[in-house]
Amino acid sequence: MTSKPNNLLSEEQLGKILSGKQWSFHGGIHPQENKQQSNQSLISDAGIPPFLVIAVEHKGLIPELLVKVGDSVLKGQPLTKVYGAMVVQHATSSGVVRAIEKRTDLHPSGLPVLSVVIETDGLDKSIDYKKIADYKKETDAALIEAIQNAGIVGLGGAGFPSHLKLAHSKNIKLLIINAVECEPYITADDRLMQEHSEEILTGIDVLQHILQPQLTVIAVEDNKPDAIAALNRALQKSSQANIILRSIPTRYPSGSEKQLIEIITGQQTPFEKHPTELGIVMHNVGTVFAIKEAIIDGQPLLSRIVTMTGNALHKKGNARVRIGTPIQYLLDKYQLLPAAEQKLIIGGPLMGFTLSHSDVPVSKTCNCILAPNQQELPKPTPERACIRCGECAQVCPVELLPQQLLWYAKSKDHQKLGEYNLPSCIECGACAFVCPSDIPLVEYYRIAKAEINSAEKEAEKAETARIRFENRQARLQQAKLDRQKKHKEAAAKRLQQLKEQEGGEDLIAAAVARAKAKKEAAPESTDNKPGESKNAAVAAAVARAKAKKAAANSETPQTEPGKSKNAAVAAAIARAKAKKAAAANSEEKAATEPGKSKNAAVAAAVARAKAKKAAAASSEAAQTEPGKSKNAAVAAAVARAKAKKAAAASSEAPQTEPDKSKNAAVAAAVARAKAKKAAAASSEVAQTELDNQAVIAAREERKKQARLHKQQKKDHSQISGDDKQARIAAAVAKAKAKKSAHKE
Amino acid sequence: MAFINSSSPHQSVRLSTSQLMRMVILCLLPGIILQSYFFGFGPLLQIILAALVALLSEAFILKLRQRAVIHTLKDGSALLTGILIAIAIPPLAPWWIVVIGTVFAIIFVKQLYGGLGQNLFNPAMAAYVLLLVSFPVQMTSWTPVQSLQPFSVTLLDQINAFLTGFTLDGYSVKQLSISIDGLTMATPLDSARNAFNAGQTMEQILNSSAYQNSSWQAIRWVNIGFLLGGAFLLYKRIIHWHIPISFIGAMIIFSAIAYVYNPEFNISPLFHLFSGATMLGAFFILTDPVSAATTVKGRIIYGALIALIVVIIRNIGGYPDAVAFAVLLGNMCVPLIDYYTQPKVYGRGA
Repeated sequence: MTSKPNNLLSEEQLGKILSGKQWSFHGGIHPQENKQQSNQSLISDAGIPPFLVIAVEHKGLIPELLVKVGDSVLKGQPLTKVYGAMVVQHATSSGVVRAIEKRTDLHPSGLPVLSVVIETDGLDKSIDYKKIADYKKETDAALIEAIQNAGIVGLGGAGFPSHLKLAHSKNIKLLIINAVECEPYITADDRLMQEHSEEILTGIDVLQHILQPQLTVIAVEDNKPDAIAALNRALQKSSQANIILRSIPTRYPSGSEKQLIEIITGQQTPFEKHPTELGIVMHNVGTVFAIKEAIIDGQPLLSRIVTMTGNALHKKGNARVRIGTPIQYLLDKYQLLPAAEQKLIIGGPLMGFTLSHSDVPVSKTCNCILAPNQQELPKPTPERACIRCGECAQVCPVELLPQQLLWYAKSKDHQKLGEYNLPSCIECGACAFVCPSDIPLVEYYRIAKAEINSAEKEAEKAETARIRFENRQARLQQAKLDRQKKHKEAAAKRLQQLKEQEGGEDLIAAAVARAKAKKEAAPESTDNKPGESKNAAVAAAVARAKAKKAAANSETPQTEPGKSKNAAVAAAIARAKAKKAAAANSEEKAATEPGKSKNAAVAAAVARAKAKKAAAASSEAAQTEPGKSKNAAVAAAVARAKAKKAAAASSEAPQTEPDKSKNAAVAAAVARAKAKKAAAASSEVAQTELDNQAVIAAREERKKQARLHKQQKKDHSQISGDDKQARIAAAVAKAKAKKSAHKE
Repeated sequence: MAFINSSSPHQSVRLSTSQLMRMVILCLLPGIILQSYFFGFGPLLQIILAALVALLSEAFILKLRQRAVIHTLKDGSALLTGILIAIAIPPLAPWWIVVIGTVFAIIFVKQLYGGLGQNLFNPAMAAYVLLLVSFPVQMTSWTPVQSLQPFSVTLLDQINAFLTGFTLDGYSVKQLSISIDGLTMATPLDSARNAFNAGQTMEQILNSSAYQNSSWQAIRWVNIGFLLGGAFLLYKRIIHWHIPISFIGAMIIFSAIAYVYNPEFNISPLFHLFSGATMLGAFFILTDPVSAATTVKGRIIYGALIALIVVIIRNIGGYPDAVAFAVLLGNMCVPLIDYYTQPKVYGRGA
C-alpha cells in the first residue's frame, strides 16, 4: 500500500465531519440548473430497441468473447470473459447475435470499437440470476469478483471499474456516496434517489461490509430536496449506523471527486494520488444502486438511468435504458424536433461532449442526452481578446491561473504550462463559462494536454530507440572482440598442432617467406613471360588501367569550374589542340612500341607532356586570366591577332609599330614570342610535310624557269641588250614562286 | 441525422466583454455629471471628442493590423479609454490636447503592444502622463467652478474656447483660469503644494483665500460621484473589491502615518481621499484588468503599492497629483507581482 499514515483522515477530522462541519472549495460557478424539465416525472422504461450494440473493446483491449455470430443470447448472459481489470459485458436483452464488428462507441473520439450487435426478439427472456444468499457471510474477494462479473463501472461519468476501487482499499476511514449531480439538466441520480432510496441504502450496506469504513457520508446538493427527503425517510426506517446525509450548497463543480472530498473533509487529495491516500473511497449513487442489484438480486448491470432533456425534445424525463440501445431510438421515442443547427450533447452542458450523428449506442457512462435549442444554449460568440479580468482564476476549483495557461497554451510553451500546473486542470469548464471574451479555455487546455502527451510519447520513443541503438552497438562490439579472440585462439591451436606434426618446425613462417620471395621475383618476369603468373598479369592489367586513366585525366584538369566563359572556351580550344598534338605525337611514338603496357604508359606520359606544352604554347596567349583588366585583354587580343598575322606572313614585319602603347607593345612582344614558339612547335610536327611540298614546288618552278631561260637563250641569244632585263625578270619570277610556295 | 460539434462547456454566462465595458462607462456617469455641473460643458465636449478620436484611431490601427474592425470596436475598450482621458484633463484644455492624448493611448500604448489584453500600461494614464509632461501649462489650467467665474461663460463660449483657446468675448483660457480675486486657479492639491513650498502649514492653507477659492469643493464632489459609480460596479461584481479596497485602505494608512508624523506639513488622509483622481483611480483606473495584477494576493499588493507611490509623490514629490505616475509604476511591477503571488493549486501544497 502506498498510503502513508500521515495523510489519512484523523479521528479528530472524522469527529468534525460527524458533528456537521462542512468545508468549501475554491471558486465554482452557479449556472442555470434547468433540472425541473426532467425531474418531475417517474423514471420510465425506454423499452427494447430492435438492435443492441454492446461495445466489448476498451482502450484497445479485447477480452475473449463467449458468443459468436448467429448465437442466441438471453438477457443477462455474459458476452465476454473476465480479462485483466476489465469488467464483463452482458447481453441486455434476449435475441440473436447478428454481427461482431467495429461500431462507433459513445466517446468524444468517435472511434469505432469492437461491438456485439444483437437483434432482439422482444421476449426479453432472462437467464437465471444466481443470488448470493447472504453477502455478509461472503468474503470481500468473492463480493468484489461478483461486482466485476456484474460489469459494474462508475456510473457518475468516468466509468472507472468499481471493483478496482474496492479491491485496493484497505484502512478506509470514510466512504462518500456522491449524489451531488452538480451539472445542470441532469436528474438521473435525483430521480433514482427519489424512487429507490431504500435500495441505495442496501447497496451502501454492501459497500460498508466490503470496505469497513468508520463513517459513510451521502452528499447531496441542496437543490434536490425531494431526494434528500426520500433518503431521510429511508434512513429513519433502516437500522444502519454510521451513515450521515449531508446536504451541500449547490455549486458547480462540487460533484467532482476532488472537490467533494474537500467539501466533506476539508482535505485535498495530493496531486497524482488516489483518495485512498486519505482513507477515502467515493462511489456514485447510481453505482451503489447497481451494486445492490448485482449482489442482492444477482442481476448484472444491464441498464442505466438516462436523462432525456433539452427543449429540442418534445418529451423529457428520465428513462431506464438498456446498455447498447441506439441513441436514435431514444431520440425517436422522445420526439426530437431538430432545429437548423442542432446540437446533441452526451452528459451535461458544462462537461458533456457532442455527437455528430446519433447512430451510437448508450454506454454505461451515458447519464444524459441533451438536445438543446438555440435559445437555451446559444452558439458561443466569436472569441475576443483576453482582457486578463481574472474571472477564470476566481472560479477555478483547482486554483489555477487560466489566463496564464491560455497565454502559454497559445504559445505552446509546454514547460511553462507544467509550471502553471496544467495537469491539475479537471476540465470542469468553469473558466470558459465565466469568460467575458468567450474564449474556449478548456478546448485550449485539452489541445495543449494532448500535445504535451504526444510530445512526451515521442521523447519516450526516441529514448527507447537510443538505448536500443547503444545496446546494439555494444553487442556488435562485443561480438567482434569475441570473434577476434576466437580466431587468435584457433590460430594458436593450429600452430601448436602443426608444430607437433612436423616435429617442431615452423612451417607457416617458411611458407610466408617463400611467398614473399615469389612476390619479389614476380614483377621482373612479367614482361618476358606473359601468362606465367596470375599476379603478374593482374599487375599489368592494373598498370594499363592506370595509364588509361592517367591519359584520360590529363585532358580534364584544365577545365576549372568557375572560370569565365572566355577562359573555358580558350581551355576547350587548347584541349582540342592538345588532343590533336597528342594524337600526332602518340601516333608517332606509340606506333613504334605497340602493346607494351609500361612503355605505352611512358609514351603516353611523354605524349601528354608534349601535348600539354604544345597546348600551352598555342593557347597561352588565348588563355586570358580572369583577373586581368579589360584593357590589357583587348590589347593582348589585338597583339595576338597581329602576332598571328605576322607569324603567318613573315617574321620580320611586326617590328615597325613605334607609336603603340607600352602595355600593348609588351603584350604584343610576349604574344609574338609565344606565337613564334607556337609556330615553331607546331611546324615541327605538322608543317614539315607542307614545307617539303613547298620546296618541291619551288624546285620544279626553278627548273621551269631554267628551261625557259635556256630556251630564251637559244631563241634570243642575239638580243644581248635585253639580256640583263630578262635575267632580272627571271629572278623576280623565281622569288615570287618561292614566296607563293612558302605561302602554300 | 447530423449534429453540429462543439467543445464543452456549452453553457456560459451571458455577460460579455462589451457589456462589462458598457457597465463601466455607465458607472462613470455620476462623476461626469457632477464634473459638468461644476465646470460647465467643457468635460462633455472633451468626452465627445475623445470618444470620437478613440474609435477612429482604433479603427485605423485595426485596419492596418488587418483585424476585424467592427468586431473589435464593439468591445468598447477604446471608447472607455477615450472617456477616461477626457475626464482626466482640464475642462477647457485646447482640443488638440485630448486628440494627442487619445491617439497616443490607443495607437501607441494599446495597439502597438498587441491590442486589448496585451498592453503593459494603462493607456489612459500613459496618455495623461505624456500630456502632463509635454504640455504642463495647458494640463494644469483648471478653470474655476462656474459660480466663482468672473465672467459669464456660455456654451458657445466654451465651445469656442475649446476649439480656439478664446471665448467669443475674446478671453483666453488663461484669463478664465483666474478667479475673482485675481489668483490663478489651481486644483486643491496644487494649491496645497504651493503653500507648503511657501512654508505655510496645513491649517493656514485650509484658511487661505487661495485654497478657499480653489475648486476643492467641486473636486470633492466629483470624487464622491466616482465613489458612487465604483460602489455600483462592486455591487454588480463587475470589478472585484481587492484593488479598490486595498488602494483606499493603504492610502488611508500611509497618509495617516505621514499626517501623524507631522500634521502641519502633510495633507490629511481625508484630503487625500477626496482630491485629485483618488476615487476615479481606485474604481476605474487601477481596476483596468489588462494592466493590473491578476491574482488575488497580487491585486491587494498592487493596490497598496500604488497607494504608497501616490502618497509619496503627493507629500514629497514634485507633481501635484500622482495617480497616473503611480499607476504606470504599478503596471511595471505587475509581472513580478503575478509571478510571486500564484495561488496554491489543489493537491499541490505540502
